[in-house]
Amino acid sequence: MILPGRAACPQLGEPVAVTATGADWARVRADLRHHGSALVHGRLADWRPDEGDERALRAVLGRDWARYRDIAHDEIRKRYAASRSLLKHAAAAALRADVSDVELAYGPTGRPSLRGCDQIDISLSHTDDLLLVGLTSRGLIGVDAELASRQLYRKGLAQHICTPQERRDLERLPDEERNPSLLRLWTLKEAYSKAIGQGMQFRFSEFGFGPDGKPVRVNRPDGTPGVGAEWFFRTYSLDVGGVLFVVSAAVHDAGLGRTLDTEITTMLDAETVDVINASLRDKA
Amino acid sequence: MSLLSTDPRLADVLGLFTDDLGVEVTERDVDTDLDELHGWDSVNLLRLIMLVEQATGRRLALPAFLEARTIRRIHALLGPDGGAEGQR
Repeated sequence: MILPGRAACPQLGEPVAVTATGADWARVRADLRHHGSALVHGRLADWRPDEGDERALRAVLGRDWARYRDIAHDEIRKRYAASRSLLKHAAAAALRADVSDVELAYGPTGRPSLRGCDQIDISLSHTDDLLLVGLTSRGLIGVDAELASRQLYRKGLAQHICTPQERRDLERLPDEERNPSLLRLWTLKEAYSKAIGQGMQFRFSEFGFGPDGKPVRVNRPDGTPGVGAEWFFRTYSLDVGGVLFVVSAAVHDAGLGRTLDTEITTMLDAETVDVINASLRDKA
Repeated sequence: MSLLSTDPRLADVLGLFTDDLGVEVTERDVDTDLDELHGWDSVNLLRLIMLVEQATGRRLALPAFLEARTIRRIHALLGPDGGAEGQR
């Protein structure tokens, strides 16, 4: 098996670690310019909010404040705030906006987006101490993370996660590679489902991915190609404070190319500018 | 594994969460959004679907199941008139 993250993909660079204070967001902006996408990760322990400073927390959470306040469980509430804080700081960095000006909206399946800023698509995943955010100016993005130590294979989940072809691929592997491979498939499917905004609405056993080490594409249950080359996938092995995570990202390229200027104050759609210029020339 | 009858009690569903999924819940949690249960995540959701389908022998109608965001609403779906697609 090829180690996760070894199969390079020009649409996705390496995940960038950021801290809650003093983070350097230049690399995130550089990844967005270069790849059209960026992956950002932080630690829950670091991004956990100071609940004593309600004013600052309200400013960061914005419209998410009401939902935050309603969460009864202490740890879940802090995780909610930490994940939204990282997501908003990452988006604000990409947009060169103030974090308090960034508002999240949620689709029917809970998929987050940036209210009024469709030049950047976003995705969020968090597990254990890891917070993970994906950003893209190419079209759609989905990200997912799991602890590398999590046992899925032994719990009999392969038949509910895998297509028949994927199960055959898994069974050909040595025992010790089956759970890591199933974690890779799980995170890829979660990332793809998040990108298309479906959650688990369609069963994970009804679409699949090929084995590691080859260009990753979505396959039909029999292993034949499903969607086209407009989708890009990458899986990483991420070491966070000595704990290993399997992280996958899915990016849909809408065919519009990379948006080089994602700043909220200057970003203009090139075609719109051309239409306005042509109209002004006609009137002159 | 807890066995769910064709018309399970709410306590049976709570037992499924606690005993089979390892997600500690009590009767106070039956109306809490699943995402706000400590230890809950998407792997648990998949395991829940798997356990319910195995125990009941019914294939779940996923959209209805995924929209049932609380233990109480999941319990309502597991009754004889709940959100299953039929015998497997």
